[in-house]
Amino acid sequence: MKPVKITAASVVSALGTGMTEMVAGLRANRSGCRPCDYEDAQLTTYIGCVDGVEGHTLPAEFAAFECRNNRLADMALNADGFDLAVAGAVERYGARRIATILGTSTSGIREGEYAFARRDPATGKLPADFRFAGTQAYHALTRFVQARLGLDGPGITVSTACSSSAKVFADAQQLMDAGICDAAVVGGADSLCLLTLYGFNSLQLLSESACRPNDVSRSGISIGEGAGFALLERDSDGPALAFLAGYGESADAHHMSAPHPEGLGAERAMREALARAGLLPGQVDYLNQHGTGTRQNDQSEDAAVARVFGSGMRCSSTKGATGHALGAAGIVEAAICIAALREGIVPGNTNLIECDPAFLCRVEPEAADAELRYALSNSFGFGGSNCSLIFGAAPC
Amino acid sequence: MLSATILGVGVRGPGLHGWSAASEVLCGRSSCDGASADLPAPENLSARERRRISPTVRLALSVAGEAVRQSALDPAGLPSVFGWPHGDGDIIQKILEELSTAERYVSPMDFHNSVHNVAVGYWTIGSKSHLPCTSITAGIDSFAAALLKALAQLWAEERPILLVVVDAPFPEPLNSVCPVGIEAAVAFVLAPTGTVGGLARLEVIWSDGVSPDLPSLPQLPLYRDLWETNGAVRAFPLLERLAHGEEGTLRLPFGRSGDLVLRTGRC
Repeated sequence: MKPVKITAASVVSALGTGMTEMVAGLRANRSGCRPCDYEDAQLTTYIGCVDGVEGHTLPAEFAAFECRNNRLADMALNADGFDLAVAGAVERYGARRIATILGTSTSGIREGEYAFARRDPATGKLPADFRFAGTQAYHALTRFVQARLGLDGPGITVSTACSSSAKVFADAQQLMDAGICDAAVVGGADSLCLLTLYGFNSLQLLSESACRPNDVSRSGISIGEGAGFALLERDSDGPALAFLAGYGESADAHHMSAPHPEGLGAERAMREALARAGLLPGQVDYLNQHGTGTRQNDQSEDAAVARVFGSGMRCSSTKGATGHALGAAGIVEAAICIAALREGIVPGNTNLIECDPAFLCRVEPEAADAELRYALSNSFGFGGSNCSLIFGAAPC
Repeated sequence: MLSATILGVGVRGPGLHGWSAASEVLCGRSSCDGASADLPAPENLSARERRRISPTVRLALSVAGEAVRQSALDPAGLPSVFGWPHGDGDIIQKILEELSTAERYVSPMDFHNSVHNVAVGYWTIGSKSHLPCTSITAGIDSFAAALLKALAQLWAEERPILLVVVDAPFPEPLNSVCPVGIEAAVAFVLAPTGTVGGLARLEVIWSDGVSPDLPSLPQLPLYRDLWETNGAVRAFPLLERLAHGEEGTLRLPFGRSGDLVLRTGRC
């Protein structure tokens, strides 16, 4: 495919607000995970919580969308000059020619949790001030972002669990290629809530300490949260941060909540991304793993990466730094790959003590300087929904 | 403009029990009794998986299976786009109720069935398709969004694709804050224009402005009343055109002020 220009990007994660704070955290190999102190959750685990989200409020005209998930999104729209960059795109193309395609796994369901806790004890009715459409509804995120940015192009919410905000890049490329739009705002947001904390707890997938992807002693995930955006343009003359060089999507067709043991779907997604980018495996300089920190995910991903790229592929999982931002993991790690290409760093595998000796990939424990031309990001979700994205460096 | 040949259709809803009977209702040759009917058992899932799926997932799988059978294509060779306004309302409400108790116990099966892509996940398991699959929503405009996504992917990949849209009511109390009305689902197999053996040709334009003069509502009063609440009903005017076998133009609202303009014609 023809590479697609990425002309703006922003991110909010447990490493901070904006690309600069994130890069500083990556360079220092800092973990943003901390013992779970999320509201009244009683769980022995770590979380990747975004600082400042409790104190952030939406502009008054968006009160109907007020919830933690949309606040995270708003913080990311304010970061890195993203909303200004979109305003420029609106001038160039018109609001109707810019699609908004965002991923989320749980949107603002925290508001539903609050509402159920406050049900009328006699009638079971939800409180009158519960605004379902602007908060809990999956599409609330995209509606809020479209309203906040003044965009009138097609608005689509993708919800494929932990690959949600990676797959949006593929959707945007297809809509632009088909001539439906000239540009697209892609990305997504997912926020801490009881549903995912207690849900992953019941699957016995939460790590009691900060997650340690790729480590021989890894024992599960640390749930995080985050938001981020990228502006893709089909035929821009302006400068690019990086390029979307290719994407690959696949289905495991295996199990609802367990990855294929040999990573067949993951392998397929990576091969398809390479083919679409017109690249040989040896041309990819760095691979940001899905790397959740569960026994099964990391093992099957390592095997799949080694089959595609050979053993010794330079990899890391950054989820020890950010936590697993679930539906936002795709955009957070896309931002990490874009930053890696621009800043010339290979991010380290935060929290790694001893790499699993059975693994074939070259897991980078510490951040290192390196000139990168292509970086691949993997995102895999429940339901066996896989997505691999390849980003290319902008010419100097 | 995007275009496709429709190779297969599946539909289920009150009074609509599969395309061949439903097309008689939708073109006015049979009356609509509004009754629901038992769904066929989902194909190619293990007994354990069949026990795990919810009624709404079963509904989505049944229309998907019907459309693919009609197309005579191998389901393993089809990528898929599932549109679903609110995900599985029964499961979501059950978990919200569980989380409002002191124990906060969420069953592992409920949790993995709570993801929005649960229907497409089971579809890929049953159909053994490893091709790209997705699960999207645009609220009430979920059919418009899924149709546009499926046609853009068809354009990009030049191979047939399965499109499914499903919607079903929440239980109370969520039903009161988000009424959906009825359970309904529609599926299409879309193929590149010119593919032989199609039912109809479909052309879609993302319109630059609202075109209020074009027809858009379903003809049958039962469904017309659900136009603003049920995301699957948004596909019914297109089904009516196909049932009549007529050429025609429809307006499908999408977003704050946009439209998809749909043109149907013979292959």
